[in-house]
Amino acid sequence: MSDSVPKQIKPSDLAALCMAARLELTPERQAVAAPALDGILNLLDALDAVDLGETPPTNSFDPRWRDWP
Amino acid sequence: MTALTDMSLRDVAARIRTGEVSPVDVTRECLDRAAATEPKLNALSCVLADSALAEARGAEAEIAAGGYRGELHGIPVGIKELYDVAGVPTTSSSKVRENWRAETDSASVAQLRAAGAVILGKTHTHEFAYGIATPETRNPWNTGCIPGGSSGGSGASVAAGSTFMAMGSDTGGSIRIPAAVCGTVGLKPTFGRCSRAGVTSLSWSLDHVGPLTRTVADAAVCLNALAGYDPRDPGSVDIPVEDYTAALGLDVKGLRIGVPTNYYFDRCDAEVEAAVRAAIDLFAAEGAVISDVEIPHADQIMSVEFALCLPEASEYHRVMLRDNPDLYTEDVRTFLEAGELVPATRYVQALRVRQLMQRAWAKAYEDIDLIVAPAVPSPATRVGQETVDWGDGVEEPVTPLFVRLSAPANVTGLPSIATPCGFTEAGLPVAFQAIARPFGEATSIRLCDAYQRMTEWGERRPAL
Repeated sequence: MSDSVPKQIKPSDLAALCMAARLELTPERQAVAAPALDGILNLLDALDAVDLGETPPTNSFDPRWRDWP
Repeated sequence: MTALTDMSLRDVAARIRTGEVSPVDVTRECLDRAAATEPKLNALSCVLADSALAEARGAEAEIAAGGYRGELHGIPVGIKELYDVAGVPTTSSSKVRENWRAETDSASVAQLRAAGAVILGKTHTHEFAYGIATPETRNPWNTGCIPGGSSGGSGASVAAGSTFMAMGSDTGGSIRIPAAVCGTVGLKPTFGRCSRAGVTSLSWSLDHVGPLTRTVADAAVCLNALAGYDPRDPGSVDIPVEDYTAALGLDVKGLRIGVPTNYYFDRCDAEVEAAVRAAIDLFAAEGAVISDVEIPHADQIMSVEFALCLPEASEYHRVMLRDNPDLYTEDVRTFLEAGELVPATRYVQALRVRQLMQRAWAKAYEDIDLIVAPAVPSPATRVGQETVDWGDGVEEPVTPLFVRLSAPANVTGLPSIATPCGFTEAGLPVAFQAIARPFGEATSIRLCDAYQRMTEWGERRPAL
């Protein structure tokens, strides 16, 4: 990941993200959510250290039909 | 004479089977115990005294008529607030679900009823299982400390003696964390071994259900009742169920135990580490084969755990969060709001890393049967304590602290049992966990049961 990408969420960034998620957050809630999201996104940066190649995700879909309850 | 409520489930079951005690007597003693301890602990979110006594009378009559069903017959148990119990609210310990009433039993409750268990009441969870503190409840060993979570009410109730077993759920340690800090056994089965139908979800990819008990032998009895395929749970796996009690009473000779050289003992309380290493020494002395094992992808474990859990939890709560945001507690609301904003590509990236992690763990297990490591890196923290100072310049928030040693078994889906292995000088329990291969619950049960028969840590009871 490029070092030139800012790694701290600004209030304006959060507002844009909330709009994309259709999530209405007051400025007070944005002030709480921003540092929490920062911490989470920084934690997830560690995923970039893994060379995934052609690895598929672990989710799977079973196309067989059955008698669902 | 030992009180019934201080005994193990199996000890009481033996007395019920022979008619020495009746399920009604046992249930009354548990209700009395709850009445005495609940003012200090608040482990139970509701006590179902009338229906429990009715169920106990039914069990008494059935057993007297020769219809003994097995070791759970007539045994009072607790059910975590996330589980549906027909006709009873499933609040998830949240104001958001205050009026949510279940119409049918969850799979686990139905299985326990079929085995003859008496549903004594429901146990508090951290709101929607999204946390490690269970703020309503206190730790029986020190009421100034947390009981862990999210199944904190189950841990406190089993340790206090108001139930002989209580159901938990484990997305990032929520069975093993309260078991470890409350001094009980906590069994997180393999992903897919026990049905989650009728249990409020935190994260579909990581949720597991399982029992908290006083002994490993009790856990084996419970797993016999709970294991099995259920098409209602898309994660359920259709493979044969063993008799887990067959793994009891064996020795540890020849079991190949891996001891992590990285991750599990990093930033670990000295008393916890000493107790876990003493357990490993005991296994070696009894003929287990000990070797080092390097935990693969250690730097990504918490990233995968959180990258999966947060978006899935936020999606589950998407409508409720918009309808009633103010009804959530502050910490859960913040997690849910932040989780909505994690990019979808991060979620899929974590699923891909999880694939590699699973293969790497399989390779790490080529020459071992189990990994033995601390269940949690710290004894119970004080109520309201937000961080732990490790003395090396790092102050670690308590949520990731308690989750980080549990998360590997959630991300890999491997079965893990937390077993008490000592007490700190301050009198707080500590525990190791034994992590086996997929569907290797019997191997973990064999090891941990042998440990309990060689030591006395699991026999101590809190002075309440």
